[in-house]
Order: sequence, then C-alpha cells, then structure tokens
Amino acid sequence: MTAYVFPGQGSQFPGMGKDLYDADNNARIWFEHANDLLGFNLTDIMFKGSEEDLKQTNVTQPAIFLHSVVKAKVLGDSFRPDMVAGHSLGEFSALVAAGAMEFADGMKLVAARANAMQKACELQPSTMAAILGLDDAKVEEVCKTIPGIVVPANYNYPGQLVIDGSRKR
Amino acid sequence: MKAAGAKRALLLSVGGAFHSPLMEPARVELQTAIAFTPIVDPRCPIYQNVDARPHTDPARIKANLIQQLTAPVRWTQTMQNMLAAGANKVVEVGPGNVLQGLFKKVSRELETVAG
Repeated sequence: MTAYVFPGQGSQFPGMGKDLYDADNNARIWFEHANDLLGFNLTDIMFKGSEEDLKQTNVTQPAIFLHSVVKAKVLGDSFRPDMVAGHSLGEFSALVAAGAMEFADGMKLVAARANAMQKACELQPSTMAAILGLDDAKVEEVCKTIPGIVVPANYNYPGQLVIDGSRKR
Repeated sequence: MKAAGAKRALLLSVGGAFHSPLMEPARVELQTAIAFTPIVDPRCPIYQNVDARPHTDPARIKANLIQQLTAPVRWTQTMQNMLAAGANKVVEVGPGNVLQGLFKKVSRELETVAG
C-alpha cells in the first residue's frame, strides 16, 4: 500500500517550484491561479526570494501548500494513494490532493491560517526547540516542571520532540 | 532538558509556539472559516495530526483541522499507524525530503520516494 505524505513548515527553500513551473503548462496555470487568489505574487517570492523572505509564516505556509498541491496535480493518474497524511499545514495539502477540498478553498484557508498564526505569535513572544535523544515521556515530564507555557508541539520521530515555550517579555 | 539526559536541544528559528495553547487566538479566528469551507469524503483515509488516526468523515476532519492549531502534531504515532495499516511505500509530495527522513527513522527498510 502506498502512503502519500505532505510536508509542513521547514521544508521551504529558495527557488522552490520553479522547475515545475517551467516544465509543465498545467502547473503554470495553477501557480498563476494561486497568485490571483492571494492578491500578491507568491510565486515571485518562491522562485526569486531569499531564505529569509521564505521564512515569514505568511509566506512559508502558502508556498509549501502550493508546491505540494501543484506537484500532486502534475502527477495526474499516477497519484494513487491508499492513505494520506500531512505534517501540520501539510494536512491541508493532503486534503486537497485527496479530493476532499477544492484548491481555491485550501489556498485561501492556508493563507488565513498563516496570518492568524503570525498574529498570535505577535501577541505573546514564544518559540520552539527540538529536543533530541530523550524519551517522549521524559520530555513531557520535564515540560510540566517548567513555569509558564512549555508543551510538546511536534512528536517527529522516536527521540525527537519539538517543544513550545513562551518567552519573557 | 540536557540535565534530564537529552543529547541536544536546538532552538528553532520559527515565528512562535505553533500547536500550543498560545495559538488559541488563531484557533478562534480560523474555526468559522474552516467550518464554512466545503469538505467532502476524501478518496482515501487521511491520518490527522491530532490523534494520528485515519479519518474519512468530513465533519470529523473539520473538527480535527480546527483542533490541530492548539494541539501537538502526533507524527511519530501517525507513521507507526500508517505502517501498521500496511503502508510499504511512502511518497513525499512537496518541497524537500524531511518526511522521508522521518519515516526512515521508524523503518529503515521502507521504500521512500519524492513524488
């Protein structure tokens, strides 16, 4: 059985999607459609922007979603999933690829999600940290002993848990 | 965490504490938009982040998407459940190959490819 999986934040890179755009007419149409829906030129940032430009949440999330979904569309009939999953925002890419959500709805939701998350970050300074080489249970236990909000965020694989924490102002 | 035995602890350069209670304002803002977005049955089950289980019911999928904003991503368990359900090939669709690497951590023999 084949599982199709869709990445989340952190997978972006300068130039992402340019090969798809250049090689496939259909891909180009989807990319341009996304720019129209968003009201800004996301593909310019994806193809020509710096690492720093791509790191802004309100760019990163739509960029990764768009890259994944167009790639799935280009696969056409060879896209034959028995199951799908997406990491964080990748869940939206997975739903569009699996035919549960329209492309335009997904694009708009991901943009709204990114903006809402960015706003929430500005309300309360906070960050994430990857903890390596410790049992999940032990990390959970240590989190509970720390004052303020310190919680597990991403259980990535056995031995890597990303945690969240609030920062002092 | 190092005192508790962690090999390494790395601060990530992200905007903030995603998937934590600090995202509550974002969850509140998004829940109406998600609720009003048409979702139909997917062509195959989607394993969702909040509980690492397969879902096909649109109402449940929506509820999970909303809850996802303030809940941890249970990816370790998601990979384990997909493999237990019979996945023997993983195709990563999108930029990079991070997820292929994560699957290899739980099953070294697994076939993983870029879509």
